[in-house]
Amino acid sequence: MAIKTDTYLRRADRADLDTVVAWMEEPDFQYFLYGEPSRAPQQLREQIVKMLGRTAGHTMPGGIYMMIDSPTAGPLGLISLQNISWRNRSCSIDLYIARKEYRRGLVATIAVYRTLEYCFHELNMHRVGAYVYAFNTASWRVFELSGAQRELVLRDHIVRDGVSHDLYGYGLLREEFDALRAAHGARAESISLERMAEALERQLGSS
Amino acid sequence: MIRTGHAVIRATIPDDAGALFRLYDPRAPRAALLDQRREMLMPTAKELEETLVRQESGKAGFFTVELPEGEIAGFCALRGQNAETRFGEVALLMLDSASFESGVAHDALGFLKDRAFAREHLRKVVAHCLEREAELRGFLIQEGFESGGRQRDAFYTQGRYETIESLALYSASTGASHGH
Repeated sequence: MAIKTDTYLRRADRADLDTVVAWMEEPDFQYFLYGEPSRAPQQLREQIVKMLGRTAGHTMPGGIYMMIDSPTAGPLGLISLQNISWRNRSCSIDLYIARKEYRRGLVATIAVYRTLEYCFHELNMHRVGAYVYAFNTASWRVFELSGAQRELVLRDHIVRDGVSHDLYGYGLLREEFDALRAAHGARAESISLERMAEALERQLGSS
Repeated sequence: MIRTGHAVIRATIPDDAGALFRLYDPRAPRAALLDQRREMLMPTAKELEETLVRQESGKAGFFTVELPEGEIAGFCALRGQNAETRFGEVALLMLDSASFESGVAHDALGFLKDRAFAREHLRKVVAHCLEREAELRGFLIQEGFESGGRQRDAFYTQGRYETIESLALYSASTGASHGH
């Protein structure tokens, strides 16, 4: 059975700044995404503000921010590619679904799948990684569904509400993603980047 | 300055820039010298000297490891301390891998462990190594570090990909590594 969705990914731009900054103020955003010294709230905030305020013509960005959007429900979340290395052809993904009612559905899985397609087939990445806190089960399951392997378990790496938690490091190589895509091609076809672009084109044509 | 059985450990000074520069050898990359994107930094000796002039390296947690005769054997660092989760990263940058067997690296690590666990009350320290850094990995395991796993194909150099392994050592007083 084909998967149907009206969500799509688009580059975050200046008009999204207020939405993104408001999400960043949410306790959940900080609970699920912060914890690494390199991802201190202030640093990440400045980085996002800088990236969204930048002109679009930058050819070799160190980070890319995308909105998970829907014509019926509006902006649902943010997905970002961090630590892009054009030399290693690698990057890491951060995912935040702001609308809680969409966290346990297919929205995150589809957004990650499309982002992986974008990473491997548009940006020509060799490896995509993700760091996920162990308590964020919904999130690390999404990466496992995408074929990513749990490569790292850093014990007692972050503290939330006085309790220490493990940090998982996931990694997915291009050949692994392509193998998964080939195995589930029929189901994934309807949610591919190509189909998403076609649907957006139809939508723009009819409006 | 700390004098141990095999080494003298002191704050790094601008005059050490030449020895430090030798570590940035593209033919022998080191995990501890990769940036956040896992890319090799390639500073010039002059840039390193200027950095050392600007920084008080002791405060920055960066130290020179000398042999008792005064020759520089390498460098060591404790960095990235996270006050909330109480962990930090250690780096052992030996110019000659023989230092891992001679007691010099053991003394340098002992110095870092003392700073991390006794002075800063950290719960754990982490270290990273590339596949090719076999001597460093063997040394860390011998010193009680546990592997947290390997990130496959994380670093590209000389026409091939390499994995990067992360290892952790827990403070003896917390016993954190046995809590799972």
